[in-house]
Amino acid sequence: MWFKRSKQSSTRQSVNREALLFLLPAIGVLIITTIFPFVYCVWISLHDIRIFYPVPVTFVGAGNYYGSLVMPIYGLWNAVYNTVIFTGASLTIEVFLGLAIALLLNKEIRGVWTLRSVIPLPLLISPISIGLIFRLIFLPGDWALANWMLTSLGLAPLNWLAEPPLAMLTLIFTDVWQWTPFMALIFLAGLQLLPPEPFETALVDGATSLKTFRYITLPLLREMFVIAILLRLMDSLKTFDIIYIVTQGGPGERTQILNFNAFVQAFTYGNISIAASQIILMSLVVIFLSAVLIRSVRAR
Amino acid sequence: MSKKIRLGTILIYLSIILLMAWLFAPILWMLLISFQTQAQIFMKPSLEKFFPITLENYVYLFTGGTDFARTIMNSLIIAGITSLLATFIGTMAAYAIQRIPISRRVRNNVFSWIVVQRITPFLAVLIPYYVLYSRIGLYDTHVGLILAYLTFTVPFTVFVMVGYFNEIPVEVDEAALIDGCSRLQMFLRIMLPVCRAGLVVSALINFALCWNELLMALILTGNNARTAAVAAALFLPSAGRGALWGPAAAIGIFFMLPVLVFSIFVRKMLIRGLTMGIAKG
Repeated sequence: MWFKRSKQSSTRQSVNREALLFLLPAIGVLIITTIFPFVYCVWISLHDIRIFYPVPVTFVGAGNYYGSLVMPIYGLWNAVYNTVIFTGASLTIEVFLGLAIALLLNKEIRGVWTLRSVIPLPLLISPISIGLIFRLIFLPGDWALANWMLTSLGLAPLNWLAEPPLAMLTLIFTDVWQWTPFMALIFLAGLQLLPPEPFETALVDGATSLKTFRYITLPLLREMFVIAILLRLMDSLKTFDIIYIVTQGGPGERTQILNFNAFVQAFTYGNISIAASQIILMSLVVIFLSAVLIRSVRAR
Repeated sequence: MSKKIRLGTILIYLSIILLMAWLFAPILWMLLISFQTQAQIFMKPSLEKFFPITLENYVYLFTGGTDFARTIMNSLIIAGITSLLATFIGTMAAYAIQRIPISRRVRNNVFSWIVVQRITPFLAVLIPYYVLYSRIGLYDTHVGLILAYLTFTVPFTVFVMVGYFNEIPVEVDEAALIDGCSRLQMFLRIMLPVCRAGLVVSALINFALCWNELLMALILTGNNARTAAVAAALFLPSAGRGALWGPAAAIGIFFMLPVLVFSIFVRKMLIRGLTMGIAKG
């Protein structure tokens, strides 16, 4: 879609000037809003800049990177740990649940059609409202939905947002609710693109549906898996809204993922240079990860 | 045999019902809370908890001394202007990329800009924005936030509109060019009207993206240009004691309504944009 060339034929010179006229505003926006800030961010990460109290700006070279990597006070490794748990768990659940829902949606039954039209609902709701919804559901006290369900099953109510593993669980739950439909839609698109021939052969050969799924559907969906995981991974690492509203990164710093930790470092403690260095490290890792994943799709 | 099929069908319908509950229950729960008095909220589920309903939480939002109404106005202004600007700039760029023969390098660069923008965390541009804005006086201004929002709305528009132009036959512009129109005239007089449906959709999505955006607004605005998103996010105190749960639920419902209503109409394009063109929605 992207590289489809138009059949227009004109002289190259005049055409390029015309293109430039059309592209100029966008290029201007690109330079002002992306390239310049990014370069400036690198500059900030190489200097010692604080906000809230004035200290002279001094060049410290790689000092902020070194400080971020070795000093626990800047929370980098705690955030790495939390990110691995949060992203790893939510992504895994979303992939499996999304695949299951996609298989269900792929069936041609009337009830399924209704479901297909409402399944994108969480994607259409503002993340801020989603944060508020789950904050209200997981409040302590047996009047909130989560604890009411526990108590009506005869279990003790839990203090979801105040205990570290539970708070993380709450966030993962919220993320799963928000993003599983996204996975399901991508897998559904993949399922509908599958060629019918292998399935017909399998049917003729008398393969069980489980075997057909394992040896035909899954391998054919491999590319979709990589794309879905890649898209979700990029956004998952940037998760901010639901954390800010549901747990505020707490209790303590136990639900601060990398992005959130950098936010806290910069705008709660004022260590803006430390935060810049952490974000640049994170961007590099994410770009590297994405490149590896994209390459693995192209290689096949 | 028929028994087996029956069981399978029952399982399918059961999972459909479960999924519906999973999708709707959380939203419904907040909707119910938004219609309850403080006393009703603390009751265990029963008839008195849900009846009679009250509108006092919504009334409180607009007359209770909160400045929610003002922040909504800010959001409308900022999201509206950003959406118009980004749609225009992005559509022009998308047209050039899709229709005018340009070097492959330019195309590839624009594409990688969109991908990299999607990958890198907002904070990588936000931290410099904050430092810069506090120096040049753009902190807590509408203009400042609009500029910041172009960061993600313009590449998004380019992405959506390239897909849209792809579906319009090239013959349309060829005919116009033969009739002696310049490219720019042709773009303004023929292309824009032809693809107005795409423009509306893309403007609506841009509006939704800005309306929902929290992180940038939180950092780049103070009191003056505060958006509704920030007001909604800051409404509940972090400790949670003595918080106004009813009005908080009302904010949650009120805040998601505009985007929910019109995204039902533009669902297809929205999902295509979110999944970078994979799922059709």
